[in-house]
Amino acid sequence: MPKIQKEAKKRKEKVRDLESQKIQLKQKMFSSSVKTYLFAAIFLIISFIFNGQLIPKWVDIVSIALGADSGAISPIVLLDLLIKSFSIILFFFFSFVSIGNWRELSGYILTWKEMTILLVFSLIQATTDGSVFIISSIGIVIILFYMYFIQGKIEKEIF
Amino acid sequence: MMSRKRNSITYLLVLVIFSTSFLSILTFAQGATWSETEITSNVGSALNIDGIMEDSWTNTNINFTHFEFESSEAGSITLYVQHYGDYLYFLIIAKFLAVADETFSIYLSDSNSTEDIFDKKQITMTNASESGNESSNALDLYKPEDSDEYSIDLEDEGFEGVARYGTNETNTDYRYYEYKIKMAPSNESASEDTEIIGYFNYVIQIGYNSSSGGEEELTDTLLVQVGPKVLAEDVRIGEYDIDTKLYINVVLIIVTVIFGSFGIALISSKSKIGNLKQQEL
Repeated sequence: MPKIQKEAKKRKEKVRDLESQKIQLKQKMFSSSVKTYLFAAIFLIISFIFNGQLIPKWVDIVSIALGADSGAISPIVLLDLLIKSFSIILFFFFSFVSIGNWRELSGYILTWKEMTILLVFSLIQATTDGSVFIISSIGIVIILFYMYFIQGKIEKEIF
Repeated sequence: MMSRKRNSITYLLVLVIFSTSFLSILTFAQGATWSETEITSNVGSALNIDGIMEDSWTNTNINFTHFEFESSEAGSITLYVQHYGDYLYFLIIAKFLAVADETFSIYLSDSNSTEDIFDKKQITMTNASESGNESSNALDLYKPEDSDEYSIDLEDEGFEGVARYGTNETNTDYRYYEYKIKMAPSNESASEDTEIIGYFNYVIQIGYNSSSGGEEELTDTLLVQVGPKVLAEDVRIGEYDIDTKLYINVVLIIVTVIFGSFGIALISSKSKIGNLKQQEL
């Protein structure tokens, strides 16, 4: 086989490999996006149940614990607070990752506009409870801080 | 035969005692009541607090109520109310058997609930049985939040009270207790004086004390409407309760719908990867 033909074949194989790697990467990103989306959906359901006060019995237990004049914060109240806050924080985190991967899959990056919308949709779930709102805000700020400064730095070092 | 008669007398006696007791209890349960339980203060005039009944008290027939005691021995009282400027005026006309000392108190609330009664304006008449020798003493009291007992309001702002016998031939049996109460006291201690505002209504009680016994509040509470009632509904703004549960559920539904739309967009992007795979093959 002539040398030129051999090189053309090699180049074609290389391109096919690259294409295959690209598709594999995209598939990975897609599956990651779906997985994180499902996690976010689970936490949204938890948030819906607890922040939306869909279990009257639990609401009654919490309000009784809240009304008890014992001085210290009741563990039930604390548990309720943590469930509500962390469901929002984790919803934000997994949605953030899912949307980020999806945008990258489509050839774009996650912009501030999308981040702000996600932030609003996350925090709006806590607007009826001041404590949940504060804890969720702190958690989301920490996540944003982590994504922007730490994760961003790691990615820069790798590529 | 004698024993049978004795038995009949005993039964009769028991029946009489029982009926009398029952009727007494019934009468007591019914109790004495005010002829009107809601009175409206009219715009009067700037009064001198002297225990003399001026004409402005009788300008209207909606500003007074009458209380007749059940017992024939006890007399009756009539309560009048009027307002002028920053002051609310009360006049109690009492007709009782003359006692040595006599006290009338007005228990004021700052709302239309009996639970909010905390301010007491008290006038004591001494030598109440002797017309011409009587003297009176006015006292401003309040009930601190943590106590059931009334304490003297040391700031004692904006209250005047005088009691005296009737001055002309036709009303010499009557005693007049006249109260002047500042409607919105300017002192800093709002917990000691009732804040009264026009167009609203307030619950009051009247207490009576003869020297022989402790003070007793007259059975019924009274509602005093200060000025016209019509505006009360316009002025008073009710609390607006936001249905937080409904609000948060709507918010969460919106978030879920938008999040669901994103899910659909995410799933549809799978077809792009499928196309790429086909192109590769």
